[in-house]
Amino acid sequence: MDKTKTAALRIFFLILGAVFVIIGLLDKEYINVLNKAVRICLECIGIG
Amino acid sequence: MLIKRIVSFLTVLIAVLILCSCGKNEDRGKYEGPEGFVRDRDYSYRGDGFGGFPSLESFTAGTDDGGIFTSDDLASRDMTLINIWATWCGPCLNEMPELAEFAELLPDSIGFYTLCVDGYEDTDNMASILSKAGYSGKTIISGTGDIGNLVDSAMYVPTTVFVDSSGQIAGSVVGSPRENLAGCYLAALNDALENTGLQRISLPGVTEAESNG
Amino acid sequence: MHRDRMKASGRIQKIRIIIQLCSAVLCNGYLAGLKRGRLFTGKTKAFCVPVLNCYSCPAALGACPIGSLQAVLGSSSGRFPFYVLGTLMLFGVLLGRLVCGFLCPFGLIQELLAKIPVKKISVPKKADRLLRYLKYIVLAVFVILLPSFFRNGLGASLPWFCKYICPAGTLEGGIPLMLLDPGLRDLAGPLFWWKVLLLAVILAGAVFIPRFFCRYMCPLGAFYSLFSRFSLVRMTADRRTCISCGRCGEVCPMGIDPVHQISGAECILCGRCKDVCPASSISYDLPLHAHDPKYRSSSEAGHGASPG
Repeated sequence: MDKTKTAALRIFFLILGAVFVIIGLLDKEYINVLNKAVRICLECIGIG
Repeated sequence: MLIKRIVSFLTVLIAVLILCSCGKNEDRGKYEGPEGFVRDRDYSYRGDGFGGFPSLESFTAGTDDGGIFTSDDLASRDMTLINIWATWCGPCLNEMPELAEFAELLPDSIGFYTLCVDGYEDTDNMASILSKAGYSGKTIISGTGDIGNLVDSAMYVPTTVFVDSSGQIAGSVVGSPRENLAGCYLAALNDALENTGLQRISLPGVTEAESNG
Repeated sequence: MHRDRMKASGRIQKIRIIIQLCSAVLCNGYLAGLKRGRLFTGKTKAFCVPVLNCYSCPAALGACPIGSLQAVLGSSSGRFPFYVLGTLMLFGVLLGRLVCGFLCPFGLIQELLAKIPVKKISVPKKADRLLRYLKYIVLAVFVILLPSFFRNGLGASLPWFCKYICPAGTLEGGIPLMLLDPGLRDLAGPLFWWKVLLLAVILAGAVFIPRFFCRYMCPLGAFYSLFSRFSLVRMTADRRTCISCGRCGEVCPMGIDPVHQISGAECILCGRCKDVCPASSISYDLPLHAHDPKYRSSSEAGHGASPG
């Protein structure tokens, strides 16, 4: 892949990724993640 | 050539899945797992939960109707059930309709609340789930003190705790029974009542499940 | 002359194993959780780690990105997972599958298993090519589609990959919890035993086929592989100095031919090929070195040139 295309894709995904993260932070999506991560839904880990 | 085949296979698979999921809206909201994955025990795990639950003596709590939940509410009943759930927890949602029916059958001496751990963040979603499940009681959505400790110590969802009139935890059900939900909760309730020195009760139309000790 | 360079073998590997161990400890450092049998509930669990690491492990300090992705996709409020996806994209574009090679604890476990001195199975080329696509199916179907669309009337969904497949979840979450909480053992039904079986098959597979799970099943590896062509950290093989000795291919844990496939979708940038190359043809293509004439991208090294 030529250098310009590589650089362009890198910049694109860096910006897109950062923008997505910011949107998610503003939307408080990280609280969803935190809530899910500190508690266990038994079915989710394949037990019940 | 190979890639084309895989892509077309995936497209067909996805189309089938979407069609299947559209047809799955049953009234009672019961999630039927694939064949062979239904548990054959009536009971979920009963006991002290994981490391025990704190007693509810000193706390403040708010409910979804804008009211408050206090130790007076506990004191006025022989036993109070608190069903702890989360909006993202499939099994919690699945047991909700039957649990709501069970709550309706309970006599006035037994209280019933649900506690939604992300109810404060996701109030609309929580309200929609509760109304679809046919639940007409109260839901605790915020709290401090011992209520906070209770939420912290409920590592698994769903967890239902049985709290006596003085705020002590007399029993709990962790996870959710696949069959005879009402019977399982009744058995757990009766064991909790017995632990507190009270009489066991019976409910119309409910066959109490076998105690699994 | 070139033989002297072979004595430098293992340099990258020595650094890499240390980084892998540090990563495993950082991701699963809450030892008090293992003692008390409780999960860590601190705020760091709002952050996704870059690797496949079950957040239901009592020792876990962060959130699993694949688990989080399913959780947000499957939540009844139907949100688009900006935060999780954005985090994954940043990891992908910055590190790509370097995460697999240097950070993933489950990858480390497979590598340790592959050290067991039994004859490795060489997967026939056709079967291997087909099986490599399986991980994309796992990603598309079990991580994305099923949690997003397969719901009941109340909007309840499931993390399909976590529930039915993930071996890291069984190893780090399911089994430790079963061991630590006796009451939980009552609940172990056919689903639990299916997952234990699957874990056993995958771990056994890793003994005979190095990085078995990474090659054929890991949805996170599949996701990162989409960024391989342009991630910031890459490796190159200079085909003009290559002497076609084949040693790189022999040591590659992912079973690819580094000369042609280095830094591609299947490469985890572990550097084993670099360590054994007698002609020093392989190197890491780090952003700082982009303008150093010593480091040439593989596209410049001559696509059409036949090796040796």
